[in-house]
Amino acid sequence: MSQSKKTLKKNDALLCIPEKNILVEETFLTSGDMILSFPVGYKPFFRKIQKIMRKNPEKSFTRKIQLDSLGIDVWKLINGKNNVRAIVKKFADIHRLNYKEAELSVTLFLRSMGEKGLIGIKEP
Amino acid sequence: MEDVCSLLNFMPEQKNPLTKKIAWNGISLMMPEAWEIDTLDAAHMLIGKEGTPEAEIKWTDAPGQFTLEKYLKDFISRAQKLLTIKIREQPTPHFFLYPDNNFKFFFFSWESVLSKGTGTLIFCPQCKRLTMIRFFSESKISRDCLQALMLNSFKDHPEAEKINWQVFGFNFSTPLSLKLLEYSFNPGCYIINFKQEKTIITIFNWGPAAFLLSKISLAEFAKQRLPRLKGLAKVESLPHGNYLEWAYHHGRFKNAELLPFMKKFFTVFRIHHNKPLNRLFGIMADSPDKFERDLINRINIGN
Repeated sequence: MSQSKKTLKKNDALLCIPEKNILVEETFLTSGDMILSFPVGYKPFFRKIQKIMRKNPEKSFTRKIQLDSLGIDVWKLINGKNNVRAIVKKFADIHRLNYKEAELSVTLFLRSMGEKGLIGIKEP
Repeated sequence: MEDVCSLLNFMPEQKNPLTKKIAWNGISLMMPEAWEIDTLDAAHMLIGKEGTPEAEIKWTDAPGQFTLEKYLKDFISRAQKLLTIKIREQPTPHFFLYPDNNFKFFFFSWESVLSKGTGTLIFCPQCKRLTMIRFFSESKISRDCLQALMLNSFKDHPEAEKINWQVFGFNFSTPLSLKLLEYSFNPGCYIINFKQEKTIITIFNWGPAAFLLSKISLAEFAKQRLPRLKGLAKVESLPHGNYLEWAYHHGRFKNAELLPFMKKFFTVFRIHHNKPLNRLFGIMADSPDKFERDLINRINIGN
């Protein structure tokens, strides 16, 4: 049975609510930046190698991502209540950005965080 | 269906719903604060509210010789093909028959597979420019409705021999002699290029400034973004703050300016930190000839 991939329209996507992965750990650096650490499982190819080498294939490693002050602001706005549009508006207000400019930057940031597994997106 | 236009009607004592001005490549009009430019081209813009299209503007300059009837017919035919819409003529509301701004208005209704609405063709007898504004709302245009107010705020003439540019946080004016060359609007860095004979003028808008200047100075930022800047910057002042200026000669390749027979180019670059707007505005003039420095003085950026 084929599984159809659901595509959201822009307006619907902006109403989605991003939520942080509970496994993510936050560490502040003296420079003001923030490190996000989160466990990542090996990809299937490497899992097979682990099996061949008689190691635990379910073992994971920690990946780290450094956020600058702009990234931290968006990260703080992800609270499981704010939808994407609200995050964009608040981010635009904080930095006195044009809405369109904030929308582009925030959605790109959220997409990259989602691809890395740092956040999940729930539909309203 | 509720009449959107009547919902948007407002009494004279009420606040004007049009609070935001957009000005681009010769045309300008007022629109509601929540409306944003969704797509922008040299002679076209699509305006929307939270991702939903609200209005589309397309304009063209007149051919050398023309009759208004043929000009309108050609424009309508091209617009129908380009926008895949069907246009039907509608009677002009009486309050647009003799407008103060001398424009000639031709009202129409349009229909596409997915939506329909109303619109207007505006012909300017002075500059011969023809502009099409179509609204994504089916409501009839009444005297004080949003669409009518927008049409009344429409201008296609430069004011005081200057063209105003007011989009995406930019707000500056250029002399009529400058022609739009190219532009890019990437988050954090907006660039617009103009040309006047052999002089290229580039306007920059970086932001948010507080973040960009959190670890480096304004001069360091400028050198980081434009590594070709040479020499030291001098501090000059503007009514709303100081700016840094670099002015230097350079050649087509490294050290070419040292060769006596090689043509030299002259570059002036100014950068200003506008704290209230949290933006960094830059202006660069590049010319093989010695150009009037006054040219960049006349372009008021970051006001």
